[in-house]
Amino acid sequence: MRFTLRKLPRPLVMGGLLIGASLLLAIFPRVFAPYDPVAMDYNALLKAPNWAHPMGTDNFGRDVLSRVIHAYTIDMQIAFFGTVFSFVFGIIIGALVGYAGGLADTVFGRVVDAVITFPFLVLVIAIVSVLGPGLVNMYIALAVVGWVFYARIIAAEVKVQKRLDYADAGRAMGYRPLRIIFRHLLPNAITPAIVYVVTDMALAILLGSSLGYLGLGAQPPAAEWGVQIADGKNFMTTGWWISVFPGIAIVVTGLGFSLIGDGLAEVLRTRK
Amino acid sequence: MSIFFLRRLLQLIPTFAFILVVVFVLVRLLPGDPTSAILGEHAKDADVARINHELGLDRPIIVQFGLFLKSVALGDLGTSIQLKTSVISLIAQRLPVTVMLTVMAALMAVVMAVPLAFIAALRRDEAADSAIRSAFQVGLSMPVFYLGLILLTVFGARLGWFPVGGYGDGFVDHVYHLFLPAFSLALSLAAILMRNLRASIIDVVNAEYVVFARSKGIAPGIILVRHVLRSALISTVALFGLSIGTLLGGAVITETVFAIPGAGRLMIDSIYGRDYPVVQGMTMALAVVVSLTFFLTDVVEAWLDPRVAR
Amino acid sequence: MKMGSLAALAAALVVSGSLSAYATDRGGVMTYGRYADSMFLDPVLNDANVDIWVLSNLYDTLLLPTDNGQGVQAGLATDWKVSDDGMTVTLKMRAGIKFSDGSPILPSDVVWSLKRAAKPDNGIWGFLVSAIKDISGSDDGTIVITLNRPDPSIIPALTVFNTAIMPQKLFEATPGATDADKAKAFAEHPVGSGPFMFASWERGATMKLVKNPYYWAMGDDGKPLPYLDGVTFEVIPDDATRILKLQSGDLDGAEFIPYARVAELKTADNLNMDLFPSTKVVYLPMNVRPQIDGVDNPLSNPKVRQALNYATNKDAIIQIVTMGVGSPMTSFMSSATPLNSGTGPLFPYNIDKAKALLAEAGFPNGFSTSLMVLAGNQDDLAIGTAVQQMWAAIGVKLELKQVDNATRTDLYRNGHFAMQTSTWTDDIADPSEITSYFAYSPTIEAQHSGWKSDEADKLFETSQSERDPAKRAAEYARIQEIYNTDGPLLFLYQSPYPVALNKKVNGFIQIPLGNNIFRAASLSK
Repeated sequence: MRFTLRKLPRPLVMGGLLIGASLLLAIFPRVFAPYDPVAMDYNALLKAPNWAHPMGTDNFGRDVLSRVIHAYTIDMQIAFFGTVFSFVFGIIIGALVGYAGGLADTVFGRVVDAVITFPFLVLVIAIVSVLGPGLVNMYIALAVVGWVFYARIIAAEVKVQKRLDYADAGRAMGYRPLRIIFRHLLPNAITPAIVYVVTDMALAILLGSSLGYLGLGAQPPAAEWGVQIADGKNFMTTGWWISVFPGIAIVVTGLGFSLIGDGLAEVLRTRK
Repeated sequence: MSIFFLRRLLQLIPTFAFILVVVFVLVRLLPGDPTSAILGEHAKDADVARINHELGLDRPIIVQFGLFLKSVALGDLGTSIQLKTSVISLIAQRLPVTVMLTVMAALMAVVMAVPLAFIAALRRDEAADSAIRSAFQVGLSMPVFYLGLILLTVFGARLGWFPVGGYGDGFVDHVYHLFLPAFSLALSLAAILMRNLRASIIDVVNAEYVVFARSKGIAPGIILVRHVLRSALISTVALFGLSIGTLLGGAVITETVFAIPGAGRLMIDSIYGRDYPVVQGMTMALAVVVSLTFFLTDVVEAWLDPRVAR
Repeated sequence: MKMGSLAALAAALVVSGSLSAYATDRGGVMTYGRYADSMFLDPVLNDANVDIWVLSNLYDTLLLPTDNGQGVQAGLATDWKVSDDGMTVTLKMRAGIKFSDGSPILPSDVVWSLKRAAKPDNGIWGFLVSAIKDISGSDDGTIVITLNRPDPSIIPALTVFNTAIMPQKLFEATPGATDADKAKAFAEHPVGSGPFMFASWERGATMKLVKNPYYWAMGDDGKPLPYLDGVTFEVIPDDATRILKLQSGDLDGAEFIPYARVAELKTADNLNMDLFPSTKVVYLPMNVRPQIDGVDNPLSNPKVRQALNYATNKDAIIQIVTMGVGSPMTSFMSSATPLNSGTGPLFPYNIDKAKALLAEAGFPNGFSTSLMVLAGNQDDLAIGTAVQQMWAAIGVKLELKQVDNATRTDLYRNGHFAMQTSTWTDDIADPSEITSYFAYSPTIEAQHSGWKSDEADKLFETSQSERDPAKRAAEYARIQEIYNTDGPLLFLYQSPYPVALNKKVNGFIQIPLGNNIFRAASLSK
C-alpha cells in the first residue's frame, strides 16, 4: 500500500491541507495571533474591522481575530476528543454485536433504544450538573450518547457482511471469530462509519458550540467559536463581525473534515 | 415477518421500564430542588421547607418512587410543580407541536438529500458535487439561532412570505408557521443523510452485482432504482431513525428562536426548574415517540433488506 | 432621590402626552411580546415576576401604586386613613364596583381576600402584611384593618399584588379539596376586577385578556377605562425574534430588549425605545463567613470586600454590560426606592486604594476566589469576564463557575459559594422589603452572605413599627451607611426596564416595581 501524492484523491489533499493549517493554528496560536485573546480594551469596544483589528473587536474590546485563532486550540480538541471515544467504543461493540447476533443483539437493541430515546439534553445537563461544567465532562457526555450511532451503523453492516461468501470462507478455514470480525468483516463494514466520523467531527464542534452557548462547554474567558457566536448574538445588527468570523472558521473547518472523509472513503474503496 | 414486528414491539417494554427508573433517579440526582428553583435566590428557608413538605419531597425516595409508579399505573403523570397544571394536559398541548415540526423537518431533509445525493454521487468530483457538498456544509455549520434569524428576517419580515415565528391556528396554518423552523432543522439532517447516501451510492455503484447487472445490459434507470437506491438506502434509513431522537431533542433552540410552544422548550424549562413530574412525563412521552420511529425504520429496513429481519 | 423625581417626571410626561395633546383613541387589541410565560395566576400563591408583573391587569387592589412607584393612589378604596396610634387602618370602598363577571364586590370579598393574603404560611408574600391582626367590613363599604403593631409600610402593602381582591363565592365554588387546589383550578380562568379580564391562555404561546366592561376608572373622554379592547401576550423567548416581530408590526410592544439593541431601536422610525425607571439593582453577594467549605475565606475581611469594590470599574461594566444604559449604585437599594439615602456612586474606581486595602488586610499579592454565574446568561457572563479581568490587576484570581439556576440557588442558599451574580427588584413602594432581605440578618442572613450587624438588625426592628417618618428616614439612613461601607455586597449597577413600543402605542407604562400597566394604554388610529 504505497501512495504517491498524485494518486491521492483530490478531496483528501484539499481537506488535508485545510485541517493541516487548522492544526498549525491550534498548536501555535501565539505565533499567529496579534493580541492576547482575553485582554480587554475599554477604549476599543465594538470596533468594526480595521487595520489594527482585521476582524474588529467585541463588546469587551477584545481582538476578534486573536480569539478566532486561539479558539482553534479548543475547537480542534473538541473535534477529536468529542468523537474518538464514541468511534472506538462504537465500532468495537457494533462489530461484536453484529457478528454475534441472537441474545447479544437483543440486549444491544434495548440499550440502544434506551440511550437514544433518552433526551440528550437531560443527560448532558445531568452529567455536567453532577460533575461540573467544562470540556472533559462534555466529552464524557458526548461519548455516553455518541457511541450508539457508530455501533448501530457497524452492526447493521456487519450483519449483512457476515452472510457474504468471504465470511463463510473465513469460517470454513477455521479462523477464530475475533479474527474474522476485525480482520475481514470490519474493514468492509467500516466505510460508512468513517464517513460518519469525519462528519461527526464537524458536528462535535457544532455541538460543543451549542453546549458552550448553554454554558456547559468551554468556560470563559477562553475563546471558542460557539461561545464567540453566542457572545455576538445580541450584536448581530450592530457588530456582525463578532459572530460572523468564528462562523466562517466553523464552516471552513467543517468543510476540511468532510473533504477528508470523502477522500478516505475513496481510498478505502479502492483498497477493497 | 410479523413475528419480527411483534417481537420488536414487545422489546419496547423493558426499554420503557429502564427509562422510567433512570429518569426518576436522574432528576433527583441533579443538585437543587424544585422549590429553590422556583422561589429562587431570595427564598427563605422556612418557605422552602414548608413547600417541599407540601410537595412530598421530604419523604424517602423509595416512598416517592412507589407513589410515582402507582400513579403511572393509574395513568396519572402528576401535576407540574411550576405550572400547577396536569402533566398529561401539558404533554397533549406541547408534544404534537414538536412531533409535527420534526416530521416536517424529516420530510424536508429526505426531499433535499436523496436527489442531491444521487447527483453528487453520479457526478463525483465534478463541479456539481463540490457545489452541493459545500452548500450543505455551510447549512450544517450555521447555528440554528443564526440561521433561524436570517430566515425570519429575509422570508418573514422583509419578503413577508412566511410568518415571523409563532404556531398559528389550525392544521394548515400550523404547517405554514412551521415551514421555516422545519427547514432550519432539516438542513443539518439533510447534510448528514446526503453525505451518507452519497458514500453508499458510490459503494453500491462499484459493487460487483451492479457491475454484473450493467454488463447484462439492464437499463441504467432500472439498476438505479432496483439495486442502487434500495441498497444505498439501508444504512441511510438506520441513520435516519437514529437521528430522529436527536432531532426531537434538538428542537429546543429552534423552538426558542421561532417562538414555537413545543415540547423541547417545556423540557428544558422543566429541567432547569427541577419540575420532576414534567421531566418524567415528557421523557416517557418522547421515548414513546422515538420508539415508534425506530419501529417504523426497522420495518422499512426489513422491507428493503429482508435478511435483517431473518 | 434624583432618579425618583426623574421617574415621576417621565411618567407625568407619558400620561400628559396622552391626556392633553390629542384625544385618546379607543379600541384595538395591543399585542405585547414577553420573554417568558406566566406560570400561576393566583395573587397570593404565585412565586415569580412573570406572574407578578401582569397580575394587576386582572386583579385590582384596594390602593394602587402611583406611576412613579413611590406613592399610593385610590383603587377599589377611595379613602384610607391610619389611626393616630398606628394600630388601625380604615378604608372606604368605592361605590358600585363590580367584578368582571358583573357581580358586585362586597365588603366580605375584601375581608376574605385580605385574610387569605395575611394567613401565615399561605404562599411566600405573607410577610408584607404580617402586621394585620384582623379585618372587618360593614355593609356601607367601610373596611377596618386592625394591626398587631404600628406598621409604616401597611399603606403601600395594600397596593401589592398579594392583597388583590378576589371573588370569594366564585373561588369557593371552584372544585378542589384545599385552598391550594381551588387556587390551581381558579387560576386557569381567573376572575377579578382589574381593567382587563381573562379570555384564554395557550401555555407557552399566548394569553388573551379582554376589556373588563365593569372597570371603575374613567378615561380622559369620561368613559370607563381601559381604552383598549384587549391585550394579547405573546411569549417569544428569543430576544432577536421578539424585536423582529416588533419591527415587522406583529407586536405593538416588546419587553426585555437586550441593552445591545437599545441604541439601534432608539433610531427606528416606527418605534419608541422606552427605558422605564426601575428598582432593579445588580450586585454580587459575597460570602463573609470565616470559612467556606473548610477553607479560609479572605472575603470575611471587610477591607478585602472594600478593595474588590474599589478595584471594580463600574463605569466600564455599565458600558460593557448595559451599553451605558445603567447607572452606578448609590446604596444597596435603588435610587427609585423610597428613603434611599445615597449621595453619590459607591466605591468609585480606585486601583491604588484597592491595592492598599488589600495589603492592609494581609493579601498584598492577592488571592484566589470564585464567582458563580448563571450558565448561558450573557449579562452574567459579561459581568464575570469583566471583573475577572479587572481584579487580575490587584492579583485576585477569579474562577468563573457557570451553573444552572437550580444548582446555583442550592449552593447559594446553603453557603457553598464565594460570590454570585444577583439581581433584585422591589415589590412594594417601601424600603422595608429590600432591607429585610439585604441587611436584616434573621430573614435570609443578609443575602445568604452570613453578614450580621447587631446595630442594623436593631435599627430595622425599630423602624418596622416607627410612626415618625423623620425618625424612620434617619434609621434607614444609618442602616444604609453601615451596609454600604462594611456590607457583603459588591456593588455593580442599577438599570431601567428596556421596553420598545410601536409609535402608535400611548399611555403604557412599566412602573419601577415592574408592573406592566395597560389600563391607560391606547393605540392611535
